[in-house]
Amino acid sequence: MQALGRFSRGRKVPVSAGIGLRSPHYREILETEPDIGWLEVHSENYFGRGGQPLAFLERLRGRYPVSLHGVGLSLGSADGLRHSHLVQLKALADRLESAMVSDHLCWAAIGTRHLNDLLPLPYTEEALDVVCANIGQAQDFLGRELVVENVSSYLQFSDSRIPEWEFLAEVARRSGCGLLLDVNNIYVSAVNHGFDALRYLDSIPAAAVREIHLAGFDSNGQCLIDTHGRPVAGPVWNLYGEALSRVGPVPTLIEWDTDLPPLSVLLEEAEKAQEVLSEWIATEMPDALAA
Amino acid sequence: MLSLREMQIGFAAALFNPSASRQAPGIRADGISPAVRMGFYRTNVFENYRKALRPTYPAVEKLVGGGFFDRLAEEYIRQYPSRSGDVGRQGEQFAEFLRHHACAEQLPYLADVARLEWCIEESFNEQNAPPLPLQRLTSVPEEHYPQLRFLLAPSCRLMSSDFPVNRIWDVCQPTHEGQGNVDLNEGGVDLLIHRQGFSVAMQALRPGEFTMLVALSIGCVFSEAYDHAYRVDSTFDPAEFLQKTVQSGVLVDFTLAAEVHAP
Repeated sequence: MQALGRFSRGRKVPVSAGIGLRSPHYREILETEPDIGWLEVHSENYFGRGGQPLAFLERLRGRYPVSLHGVGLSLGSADGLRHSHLVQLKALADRLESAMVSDHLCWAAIGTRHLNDLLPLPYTEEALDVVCANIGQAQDFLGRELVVENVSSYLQFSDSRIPEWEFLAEVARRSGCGLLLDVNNIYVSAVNHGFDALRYLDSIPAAAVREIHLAGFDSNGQCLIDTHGRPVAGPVWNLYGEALSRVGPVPTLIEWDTDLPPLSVLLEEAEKAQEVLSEWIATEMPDALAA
Repeated sequence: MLSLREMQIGFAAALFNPSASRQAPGIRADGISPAVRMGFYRTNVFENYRKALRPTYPAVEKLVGGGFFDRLAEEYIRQYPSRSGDVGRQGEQFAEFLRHHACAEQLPYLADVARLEWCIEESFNEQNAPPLPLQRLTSVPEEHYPQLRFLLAPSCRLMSSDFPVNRIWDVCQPTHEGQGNVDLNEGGVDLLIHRQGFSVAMQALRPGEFTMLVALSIGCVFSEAYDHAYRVDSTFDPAEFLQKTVQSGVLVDFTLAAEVHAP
Protein backbone atom coordinates (compact mmCIF):
# COMPACT_ATOMS: atom_id res chain seq x y z
CA MET A 1 0.00 0.00 0.00
CA GLN A 2 1.41 3.37 -0.94
CA ALA A 3 0.09 5.81 1.62
CA LEU A 4 2.13 8.90 0.83
CA GLY A 5 -0.42 10.32 -1.57
CA ARG A 6 -2.99 10.55 1.21
CA PHE A 7 -0.59 12.34 3.51
CA SER A 8 -1.09 15.90 2.47
CA ARG A 9 -3.53 17.66 4.77
CA GLY A 10 -2.67 20.10 7.54
CA ARG A 11 0.72 21.59 8.11
CA LYS A 12 3.66 19.29 7.64
CA VAL A 13 6.13 18.66 10.41
CA PRO A 14 9.24 20.63 9.42
CA VAL A 15 12.71 19.10 9.34
CA SER A 16 13.70 20.73 12.59
CA ALA A 17 13.68 20.10 16.33
CA GLY A 18 10.40 19.95 18.23
CA ILE A 19 9.36 19.21 21.79
CA GLY A 20 6.73 17.06 23.44
CA LEU A 21 4.00 19.36 24.77
CA ARG A 22 3.01 18.66 28.39
CA SER A 23 0.22 20.46 30.25
CA PRO A 24 2.41 22.34 32.81
CA HIS A 25 4.00 24.17 29.85
CA TYR A 26 0.79 25.20 28.01
CA ARG A 27 0.63 28.76 29.24
CA GLU A 28 4.30 29.55 28.96
CA ILE A 29 4.43 28.33 25.36
CA LEU A 30 1.32 30.34 24.46
CA GLU A 31 2.69 33.47 26.12
CA THR A 32 6.31 33.30 24.99
CA GLU A 33 5.90 31.51 21.62
CA PRO A 34 9.39 29.98 21.77
CA ASP A 35 11.25 29.50 18.51
CA ILE A 36 10.61 25.80 18.09
CA GLY A 37 9.74 23.96 14.89
CA TRP A 38 6.78 21.88 16.03
CA LEU A 39 5.02 20.19 18.92
CA GLU A 40 4.01 16.62 19.63
CA VAL A 41 1.31 15.52 22.07
CA HIS A 42 0.06 12.20 23.41
CA SER A 43 -3.14 11.61 21.45
CA GLU A 44 -5.04 9.97 24.31
CA ASN A 45 -4.59 13.03 26.55
CA TYR A 46 -6.94 14.87 24.16
CA PHE A 47 -9.64 12.22 23.81
CA GLY A 48 -11.90 14.44 25.92
CA ARG A 49 -14.37 16.30 23.74
CA GLY A 50 -13.69 19.84 24.97
CA GLY A 51 -12.46 21.98 27.80
CA GLN A 52 -9.10 23.49 28.50
CA PRO A 53 -6.64 20.86 27.15
CA LEU A 54 -8.21 20.85 23.67
CA ALA A 55 -8.70 24.62 23.67
CA PHE A 56 -5.01 25.21 24.42
CA LEU A 57 -3.97 22.67 21.82
CA GLU A 58 -6.21 24.27 19.21
CA ARG A 59 -4.64 27.66 19.93
CA LEU A 60 -1.13 26.22 19.80
CA ARG A 61 -1.69 24.46 16.50
CA GLY A 62 -2.33 27.85 14.94
CA ARG A 63 1.26 28.69 15.80
CA TYR A 64 3.02 25.31 15.49
CA PRO A 65 2.47 22.15 13.45
CA VAL A 66 1.24 19.44 15.83
CA SER A 67 1.96 15.73 15.62
CA LEU A 68 -0.26 13.20 17.42
CA HIS A 69 1.70 10.48 19.17
CA GLY A 70 -0.40 7.67 20.62
CA VAL A 71 0.35 5.06 23.25
CA GLY A 72 -2.92 3.11 23.19
CA LEU A 73 -3.63 1.69 19.72
CA SER A 74 -1.97 -1.63 20.58
CA LEU A 75 -0.85 -2.41 17.04
CA GLY A 76 0.40 -5.83 18.13
CA SER A 77 -2.82 -7.17 19.68
CA ALA A 78 -3.49 -10.71 18.47
CA ASP A 79 -7.23 -9.97 18.54
CA GLY A 80 -7.11 -6.82 16.44
CA LEU A 81 -7.61 -3.12 17.10
CA ARG A 82 -10.23 -1.55 19.38
CA HIS A 83 -12.71 0.20 17.13
CA SER A 84 -13.68 2.86 19.70
CA HIS A 85 -10.04 3.88 20.05
CA LEU A 86 -9.71 4.30 16.29
CA VAL A 87 -12.90 6.39 16.21
CA GLN A 88 -11.59 8.74 18.90
CA LEU A 89 -8.17 9.00 17.26
CA LYS A 90 -9.64 9.80 13.86
CA ALA A 91 -11.94 12.44 15.32
CA LEU A 92 -8.97 14.11 17.01
CA ALA A 93 -6.65 13.88 13.99
CA ASP A 94 -9.33 15.35 11.74
CA ARG A 95 -10.26 18.08 14.21
CA LEU A 96 -6.63 19.18 14.62
CA GLU A 97 -5.64 18.45 10.99
CA SER A 98 -2.70 16.77 12.63
CA ALA A 99 0.56 16.91 10.71
CA MET A 100 1.42 13.34 11.66
CA VAL A 101 -0.15 10.41 13.53
CA SER A 102 2.09 7.86 15.21
CA ASP A 103 1.98 4.95 17.67
CA HIS A 104 4.25 2.11 18.75
CA LEU A 105 5.45 -1.28 17.57
CA CYS A 106 4.16 -3.09 20.64
CA TRP A 107 1.04 -4.58 22.16
CA ALA A 108 -1.01 -3.33 25.11
CA ALA A 109 -4.40 -5.02 25.04
CA ILE A 110 -5.84 -8.52 24.86
CA GLY A 111 -9.49 -9.48 25.18
CA THR A 112 -11.33 -6.80 27.12
CA ARG A 113 -8.26 -5.91 29.15
CA HIS A 114 -5.97 -2.99 28.38
CA LEU A 115 -2.58 -2.92 30.07
CA ASN A 116 -1.77 0.68 29.09
CA ASP A 117 1.94 0.01 28.58
CA LEU A 118 4.24 -0.51 25.60
CA LEU A 119 4.75 -4.28 25.83
CA PRO A 120 7.24 -6.16 23.66
CA LEU A 121 6.30 -8.50 20.85
CA PRO A 122 7.86 -11.80 19.89
CA TYR A 123 9.41 -11.21 16.48
CA THR A 124 7.79 -14.05 14.57
CA GLU A 125 6.05 -14.44 11.20
CA GLU A 126 2.71 -14.60 13.03
CA ALA A 127 3.38 -11.32 14.86
CA LEU A 128 4.48 -9.73 11.59
CA ASP A 129 1.18 -10.70 9.95
CA VAL A 130 -0.82 -9.42 12.93
CA VAL A 131 1.01 -6.09 13.14
CA CYS A 132 0.80 -5.46 9.38
CA ALA A 133 -2.92 -6.30 9.32
CA ASN A 134 -3.59 -3.98 12.26
CA ILE A 135 -1.56 -1.14 10.74
CA GLY A 136 -3.41 -1.65 7.46
CA GLN A 137 -6.74 -1.44 9.26
CA ALA A 138 -5.66 1.71 11.13
CA GLN A 139 -4.39 3.41 7.96
CA ASP A 140 -7.58 2.57 6.07
CA PHE A 141 -9.76 3.84 8.90
CA LEU A 142 -7.76 7.00 9.53
CA GLY A 143 -7.39 7.62 5.79
CA ARG A 144 -3.77 8.50 6.24
CA GLU A 145 -0.32 7.12 6.83
CA LEU A 146 0.42 5.82 10.32
CA VAL A 147 3.95 6.28 11.64
CA VAL A 148 5.25 3.45 13.82
CA GLU A 149 7.90 3.72 16.53
CA ASN A 150 10.32 1.11 17.88
CA VAL A 151 10.02 0.69 21.69
CA SER A 152 12.53 0.01 24.45
CA SER A 153 12.33 -3.50 25.84
CA TYR A 154 13.44 -5.29 28.97
CA LEU A 155 12.95 -8.85 27.81
CA GLN A 156 13.07 -11.01 24.67
CA PHE A 157 10.94 -13.99 23.74
CA SER A 158 12.48 -17.37 23.04
CA ASP A 159 10.13 -17.70 20.06
CA SER A 160 11.56 -14.60 18.34
CA ARG A 161 13.12 -15.60 15.03
CA ILE A 162 13.58 -12.22 13.37
CA PRO A 163 15.92 -9.49 14.65
CA GLU A 164 13.92 -6.42 15.71
CA TRP A 165 15.52 -4.22 13.04
CA GLU A 166 14.53 -6.62 10.27
CA PHE A 167 11.04 -6.93 11.73
CA LEU A 168 10.63 -3.13 11.79
CA ALA A 169 11.91 -2.76 8.23
CA GLU A 170 9.57 -5.50 7.03
CA VAL A 171 6.58 -3.89 8.80
CA ALA A 172 7.27 -0.65 6.90
CA ARG A 173 7.74 -2.48 3.59
CA ARG A 174 4.60 -4.60 3.86
CA SER A 175 2.19 -2.13 5.45
CA GLY A 176 3.41 1.07 3.82
CA CYS A 177 3.56 2.78 7.22
CA GLY A 178 6.12 5.43 8.08
CA LEU A 179 8.74 4.88 10.75
CA LEU A 180 9.48 6.87 13.86
CA LEU A 181 13.01 5.99 14.85
CA ASP A 182 13.46 6.36 18.58
CA VAL A 183 17.23 6.54 18.89
CA ASN A 184 17.08 6.39 22.69
CA ASN A 185 15.00 3.21 22.51
CA ILE A 186 17.50 1.63 20.12
CA TYR A 187 20.30 2.48 22.55
CA VAL A 188 18.39 1.20 25.62
CA SER A 189 17.46 -2.08 23.94
CA ALA A 190 20.95 -2.51 22.45
CA VAL A 191 22.45 -2.28 25.95
CA ASN A 192 19.74 -4.45 27.53
CA HIS A 193 19.97 -7.20 24.91
CA GLY A 194 23.55 -6.81 23.74
CA PHE A 195 23.02 -6.06 20.06
CA ASP A 196 24.86 -3.59 17.83
CA ALA A 197 22.90 -0.33 17.56
CA LEU A 198 24.69 0.60 14.31
CA ARG A 199 23.62 -2.66 12.70
CA TYR A 200 20.04 -1.75 13.71
CA LEU A 201 20.37 1.65 12.01
CA ASP A 202 21.92 0.07 8.90
CA SER A 203 18.77 -2.01 8.37
CA ILE A 204 16.28 0.85 8.52
CA PRO A 205 14.79 1.86 5.14
CA ALA A 206 15.71 5.57 5.08
CA ALA A 207 12.82 6.56 2.81
CA ALA A 208 10.26 5.35 5.38
CA VAL A 209 11.62 7.39 8.31
CA ARG A 210 9.41 10.38 9.14
CA GLU A 211 10.70 11.35 12.55
CA ILE A 212 13.35 10.71 15.20
CA HIS A 213 12.77 10.69 18.97
CA LEU A 214 15.38 11.58 21.56
CA ALA A 215 14.86 11.14 25.30
CA GLY A 216 16.61 10.24 28.53
CA PHE A 217 16.73 6.85 30.25
CA ASP A 218 17.39 5.56 33.77
CA SER A 219 18.90 2.37 35.13
CA ASN A 220 17.30 0.11 37.72
CA GLY A 221 20.65 -1.57 38.36
CA GLN A 222 19.94 -4.49 36.05
CA CYS A 223 18.39 -2.90 32.99
CA LEU A 224 18.19 0.47 31.32
CA ILE A 225 14.61 1.77 31.56
CA ASP A 226 13.08 4.22 29.11
CA THR A 227 11.75 6.75 31.64
CA HIS A 228 11.85 9.99 29.60
CA GLY A 229 12.89 11.67 32.83
CA ARG A 230 16.41 12.94 32.11
CA PRO A 231 18.47 14.79 29.50
CA VAL A 232 19.47 12.85 26.39
CA ALA A 233 22.59 10.78 27.25
CA GLY A 234 25.95 11.28 25.50
CA PRO A 235 25.94 7.92 23.67
CA VAL A 236 22.41 8.64 22.42
CA TRP A 237 23.57 11.97 20.95
CA ASN A 238 26.34 10.05 19.16
CA LEU A 239 23.83 7.53 17.88
CA TYR A 240 21.61 10.39 16.68
CA GLY A 241 24.50 11.59 14.48
CA GLU A 242 24.87 8.05 13.13
CA ALA A 243 21.12 7.90 12.44
CA LEU A 244 21.19 11.19 10.50
CA SER A 245 24.06 9.96 8.36
CA ARG A 246 21.94 6.93 7.39
CA VAL A 247 18.40 8.29 7.06
CA GLY A 248 19.15 11.93 6.29
CA PRO A 249 17.65 14.93 8.07
CA VAL A 250 14.20 14.31 9.60
CA PRO A 251 12.03 16.09 12.18
CA THR A 252 13.52 15.38 15.61
CA LEU A 253 11.64 15.44 18.90
CA ILE A 254 12.79 15.85 22.49
CA GLU A 255 10.50 13.75 24.72
CA TRP A 256 10.28 14.32 28.46
CA ASP A 257 7.49 12.78 30.57
CA THR A 258 8.55 12.10 34.15
CA ASP A 259 10.13 14.68 36.49
CA LEU A 260 9.23 17.31 33.93
CA PRO A 261 11.78 20.18 34.08
CA PRO A 262 11.11 23.87 33.31
CA LEU A 263 10.33 24.56 29.67
CA SER A 264 13.75 26.23 29.26
CA VAL A 265 15.48 22.87 29.83
CA LEU A 266 13.42 21.22 27.10
CA LEU A 267 14.15 24.11 24.76
CA GLU A 268 17.90 23.78 25.45
CA GLU A 269 17.75 20.09 24.57
CA ALA A 270 15.83 20.91 21.41
CA GLU A 271 18.43 23.56 20.54
CA LYS A 272 21.15 20.92 20.86
CA ALA A 273 19.23 18.65 18.49
CA GLN A 274 18.70 21.57 16.12
CA GLU A 275 22.46 22.28 16.10
CA VAL A 276 23.29 18.68 15.23
CA LEU A 277 20.62 18.69 12.54
CA SER A 278 21.70 22.04 11.05
CA GLU A 279 25.35 21.09 11.11
CA TRP A 280 24.59 17.82 9.37
CA ILE A 281 22.60 19.60 6.66
CA ALA A 282 25.35 22.25 6.22
CA THR A 283 28.03 19.58 5.86
CA GLU A 284 26.21 16.92 3.89
CA MET A 285 23.69 18.92 1.89
CA PRO A 286 25.25 22.37 1.26
CA ASP A 287 23.19 22.66 -1.93
CA ALA A 288 19.97 22.31 0.05
CA LEU A 289 21.00 25.26 2.21
CA ALA A 290 21.94 27.39 -0.81
CA ALA A 291 18.58 26.64 -2.36
CA MET B 1 5.62 -22.44 20.12
CA LEU B 2 2.87 -20.33 21.72
CA SER B 3 0.46 -18.46 19.51
CA LEU B 4 0.64 -14.68 19.87
CA ARG B 5 -2.77 -14.74 21.53
CA GLU B 6 -1.69 -17.37 24.08
CA MET B 7 1.45 -15.40 24.85
CA GLN B 8 -0.50 -12.17 25.39
CA ILE B 9 -3.08 -13.81 27.66
CA GLY B 10 -0.31 -15.45 29.70
CA PHE B 11 1.70 -12.22 29.86
CA ALA B 12 -1.30 -10.21 31.09
CA ALA B 13 -2.01 -12.81 33.78
CA ALA B 14 1.61 -12.85 34.94
CA LEU B 15 1.71 -9.06 35.11
CA PHE B 16 -1.07 -9.01 37.68
CA ASN B 17 -0.12 -12.15 39.51
CA PRO B 18 3.55 -12.31 40.58
CA SER B 19 3.25 -15.99 41.50
CA ALA B 20 2.32 -16.72 37.87
CA SER B 21 5.55 -15.06 36.70
CA ARG B 22 7.34 -18.41 36.74
CA GLN B 23 5.03 -19.47 33.97
CA ALA B 24 5.58 -16.16 32.16
CA PRO B 25 5.33 -17.20 28.55
CA GLY B 26 8.54 -17.99 26.68
CA ILE B 27 10.77 -15.25 28.09
CA ARG B 28 14.52 -15.66 27.63
CA ALA B 29 16.62 -15.39 30.78
CA ASP B 30 19.82 -13.88 29.31
CA GLY B 31 21.34 -13.37 32.76
CA ILE B 32 18.20 -12.04 34.46
CA SER B 33 15.40 -14.44 35.38
CA PRO B 34 12.14 -14.16 33.42
CA ALA B 35 10.29 -13.47 36.69
CA VAL B 36 12.55 -10.49 37.41
CA ARG B 37 12.10 -9.24 33.85
CA MET B 38 8.33 -9.47 34.23
CA GLY B 39 8.79 -7.46 37.43
CA PHE B 40 10.28 -4.56 35.43
CA TYR B 41 7.06 -4.38 33.41
CA ARG B 42 4.89 -4.87 36.51
CA THR B 43 6.61 -1.87 38.11
CA ASN B 44 6.01 0.26 35.03
CA VAL B 45 2.38 -0.77 34.60
CA PHE B 46 1.41 -0.12 38.24
CA GLU B 47 3.33 3.16 38.18
CA ASN B 48 1.42 4.23 35.03
CA TYR B 49 -1.90 3.52 36.69
CA ARG B 50 -1.00 5.22 39.99
CA LYS B 51 0.15 8.27 38.04
CA ALA B 52 -3.16 8.36 36.20
CA LEU B 53 -5.26 7.94 39.37
CA ARG B 54 -3.47 10.36 41.68
CA PRO B 55 -4.23 13.68 39.91
CA THR B 56 -7.90 12.69 39.50
CA TYR B 57 -8.43 11.94 43.20
CA PRO B 58 -6.50 14.55 45.24
CA ALA B 59 -9.23 14.86 47.90
CA VAL B 60 -9.39 11.09 48.38
CA GLU B 61 -5.60 11.08 48.77
CA LYS B 62 -5.75 13.93 51.25
CA LEU B 63 -8.35 12.05 53.32
CA VAL B 64 -6.47 8.74 53.48
CA GLY B 65 -2.83 9.88 53.14
CA GLY B 66 -0.36 9.14 50.33
CA GLY B 67 0.79 5.74 51.60
CA PHE B 68 -2.69 4.32 52.04
CA PHE B 69 -3.76 5.86 48.72
CA ASP B 70 -1.00 3.85 47.02
CA ARG B 71 -2.26 0.66 48.68
CA LEU B 72 -5.83 1.41 47.62
CA ALA B 73 -4.63 2.18 44.08
CA GLU B 74 -2.78 -1.11 43.87
CA GLU B 75 -5.82 -3.10 45.04
CA TYR B 76 -8.06 -1.18 42.66
CA ILE B 77 -5.75 -1.80 39.70
CA ARG B 78 -5.81 -5.54 40.42
CA GLN B 79 -9.59 -5.72 40.87
CA TYR B 80 -10.75 -3.39 38.10
CA PRO B 81 -8.85 -4.03 34.87
CA SER B 82 -8.53 -1.09 32.51
CA ARG B 83 -10.70 -1.42 29.42
CA SER B 84 -9.52 1.63 27.52
CA GLY B 85 -6.38 2.60 25.64
CA ASP B 86 -6.80 6.00 27.25
CA VAL B 87 -5.24 5.53 30.68
CA GLY B 88 -7.19 8.59 31.83
CA ARG B 89 -10.39 6.46 31.86
CA GLN B 90 -8.86 3.92 34.20
CA GLY B 91 -10.16 5.64 37.36
CA GLU B 92 -13.79 5.46 36.30
CA GLN B 93 -14.74 2.75 38.81
CA PHE B 94 -12.64 3.95 41.73
CA ALA B 95 -15.71 5.16 43.64
CA GLU B 96 -17.38 1.78 43.09
CA PHE B 97 -14.26 0.05 44.41
CA LEU B 98 -14.12 2.28 47.51
CA ARG B 99 -17.79 1.67 48.27
CA HIS B 100 -17.06 -2.03 48.71
CA HIS B 101 -13.68 -1.64 50.40
CA ALA B 102 -13.17 -2.38 54.09
CA CYS B 103 -12.15 1.25 54.68
CA ALA B 104 -15.75 2.31 53.92
CA GLU B 105 -16.64 1.31 57.47
CA GLN B 106 -14.47 4.07 58.94
CA LEU B 107 -14.82 6.49 56.02
CA PRO B 108 -18.35 5.96 54.73
CA TYR B 109 -18.21 9.19 52.69
CA LEU B 110 -14.96 8.32 50.86
CA ALA B 111 -16.70 6.68 47.89
CA ASP B 112 -18.86 9.76 47.38
CA VAL B 113 -15.81 12.05 47.48
CA ALA B 114 -14.34 9.84 44.73
CA ARG B 115 -17.61 10.01 42.79
CA LEU B 116 -17.51 13.80 43.01
CA GLU B 117 -13.90 13.90 41.82
CA TRP B 118 -14.72 11.68 38.85
CA CYS B 119 -17.62 14.03 37.96
CA ILE B 120 -15.18 16.95 38.10
CA GLU B 121 -12.69 15.08 35.90
CA GLU B 122 -15.35 14.26 33.30
CA SER B 123 -16.82 17.74 33.35
CA PHE B 124 -13.37 19.28 32.83
CA ASN B 125 -12.91 17.40 29.55
CA GLU B 126 -16.45 17.45 28.21
CA GLN B 127 -17.64 19.01 25.00
CA ASN B 128 -18.13 22.80 24.96
CA ALA B 129 -21.64 24.10 24.32
CA PRO B 130 -22.58 27.69 23.46
CA PRO B 131 -25.16 29.23 25.80
CA LEU B 132 -28.83 29.31 24.82
CA PRO B 133 -29.84 32.84 23.74
CA LEU B 134 -32.62 33.92 26.09
CA GLN B 135 -34.60 35.55 23.25
CA ARG B 136 -34.90 32.15 21.54
CA LEU B 137 -36.77 31.00 24.59
CA THR B 138 -38.87 34.12 25.01
CA SER B 139 -40.02 33.85 21.39
CA VAL B 140 -41.73 30.53 22.16
CA PRO B 141 -45.49 30.97 22.79
CA GLU B 142 -46.24 30.42 26.46
CA GLU B 143 -48.71 27.61 25.82
CA HIS B 144 -45.88 25.52 24.32
CA TYR B 145 -43.68 25.72 27.42
CA PRO B 146 -45.05 22.56 29.04
CA GLN B 147 -43.97 20.57 25.97
CA LEU B 148 -40.41 21.90 25.75
CA ARG B 149 -37.67 19.33 26.03
CA PHE B 150 -34.46 20.90 27.37
CA LEU B 151 -30.88 19.80 26.89
CA LEU B 152 -28.31 20.12 29.66
CA ALA B 153 -24.76 21.24 28.82
CA PRO B 154 -22.57 18.16 28.19
CA SER B 155 -20.32 19.18 31.09
CA CYS B 156 -23.18 18.93 33.65
CA ARG B 157 -23.08 16.13 36.18
CA LEU B 158 -25.71 15.61 38.88
CA MET B 159 -24.95 13.72 42.05
CA SER B 160 -26.68 13.11 45.32
CA SER B 161 -24.90 12.12 48.51
CA ASP B 162 -25.98 11.19 52.04
CA PHE B 163 -22.97 13.19 53.28
CA PRO B 164 -21.96 16.87 53.00
CA VAL B 165 -19.53 15.75 50.33
CA ASN B 166 -19.04 19.25 48.88
CA ARG B 167 -17.91 20.55 52.27
CA ILE B 168 -15.58 17.56 52.72
CA TRP B 169 -14.12 18.25 49.28
CA ASP B 170 -13.70 21.92 50.18
CA VAL B 171 -11.61 21.29 53.26
CA CYS B 172 -9.35 18.97 51.25
CA GLN B 173 -8.39 21.73 48.81
CA PRO B 174 -4.85 23.09 49.13
CA THR B 175 -6.35 26.61 49.13
CA HIS B 176 -8.68 25.87 52.06
CA GLU B 177 -8.18 28.10 55.08
CA GLY B 178 -9.73 27.83 58.48
CA GLN B 179 -11.41 24.93 60.18
CA GLY B 180 -10.59 21.51 58.78
CA ASN B 181 -13.56 19.67 60.29
CA VAL B 182 -16.89 18.86 58.74
CA ASP B 183 -19.82 17.71 60.84
CA LEU B 184 -21.19 14.61 59.13
CA ASN B 185 -24.53 15.31 60.85
CA GLU B 186 -24.97 18.29 58.52
CA GLY B 187 -26.64 15.72 56.30
CA GLY B 188 -26.60 14.99 52.60
CA VAL B 189 -26.42 17.22 49.58
CA ASP B 190 -27.63 17.36 45.97
CA LEU B 191 -24.94 18.71 43.66
CA LEU B 192 -24.67 20.12 40.18
CA ILE B 193 -21.16 19.93 38.75
CA HIS B 194 -20.79 22.14 35.71
CA ARG B 195 -17.93 23.69 33.74
CA GLN B 196 -18.01 27.42 33.14
CA GLY B 197 -15.23 28.50 30.81
CA PHE B 198 -12.38 26.19 31.72
CA SER B 199 -13.21 25.87 35.41
CA VAL B 200 -15.45 23.27 36.92
CA ALA B 201 -17.76 24.60 39.61
CA MET B 202 -20.08 22.75 41.93
CA GLN B 203 -23.28 24.03 43.38
CA ALA B 204 -25.52 22.64 46.10
CA LEU B 205 -29.10 22.65 44.81
CA ARG B 206 -32.46 22.82 46.54
CA PRO B 207 -34.42 19.56 46.22
CA GLY B 208 -36.85 21.03 43.66
CA GLU B 209 -34.07 22.32 41.37
CA PHE B 210 -32.15 19.07 41.61
CA THR B 211 -35.20 16.94 40.85
CA MET B 212 -36.10 19.23 37.93
CA LEU B 213 -32.62 18.92 36.42
CA VAL B 214 -32.52 15.15 36.87
CA ALA B 215 -35.92 14.85 35.18
CA LEU B 216 -34.87 17.10 32.28
CA SER B 217 -31.58 15.23 31.92
CA ILE B 218 -33.42 11.94 31.37
CA GLY B 219 -35.64 13.49 28.70
CA CYS B 220 -38.81 14.55 30.53
CA VAL B 221 -40.64 17.49 28.94
CA PHE B 222 -40.89 20.63 31.06
CA SER B 223 -44.36 19.90 32.50
CA GLU B 224 -43.43 16.33 33.51
CA ALA B 225 -40.22 17.54 35.10
CA TYR B 226 -42.13 20.22 36.96
CA ASP B 227 -44.55 17.60 38.32
CA HIS B 228 -41.59 15.70 39.79
CA ALA B 229 -40.06 18.87 41.22
CA TYR B 230 -43.36 20.03 42.73
CA ARG B 231 -43.73 16.72 44.53
CA VAL B 232 -40.48 17.28 46.46
CA ASP B 233 -40.87 21.05 46.85
CA SER B 234 -44.27 22.73 46.55
CA THR B 235 -42.62 26.18 46.61
CA PHE B 236 -40.47 25.40 43.56
CA ASP B 237 -40.63 28.26 41.06
CA PRO B 238 -40.21 27.01 37.45
CA ALA B 239 -39.86 30.49 35.92
CA GLU B 240 -37.02 31.42 38.25
CA PHE B 241 -35.43 28.03 37.62
CA LEU B 242 -35.54 28.52 33.85
CA GLN B 243 -34.03 31.97 33.94
CA LYS B 244 -31.24 30.90 36.27
CA THR B 245 -30.27 27.71 34.45
CA VAL B 246 -30.34 29.29 30.99
CA GLN B 247 -28.30 32.28 32.12
CA SER B 248 -25.68 30.12 33.81
CA GLY B 249 -25.33 27.89 30.73
CA VAL B 250 -26.74 24.76 32.40
CA LEU B 251 -29.57 24.44 29.86
CA VAL B 252 -28.13 24.98 26.41
CA ASP B 253 -30.83 23.94 23.96
CA PHE B 254 -34.47 22.89 23.66
CA THR B 255 -36.86 21.31 21.20
CA LEU B 256 -40.64 21.21 21.05
CA ALA B 257 -41.99 17.77 21.84
CA ALA B 258 -43.59 16.11 18.80
CA GLU B 259 -47.27 16.55 19.70
CA VAL B 260 -46.93 20.35 19.51
CA HIS B 261 -46.25 20.04 15.78
CA ALA B 262 -49.27 17.81 15.23
CA PRO B 263 -52.03 19.49 13.19
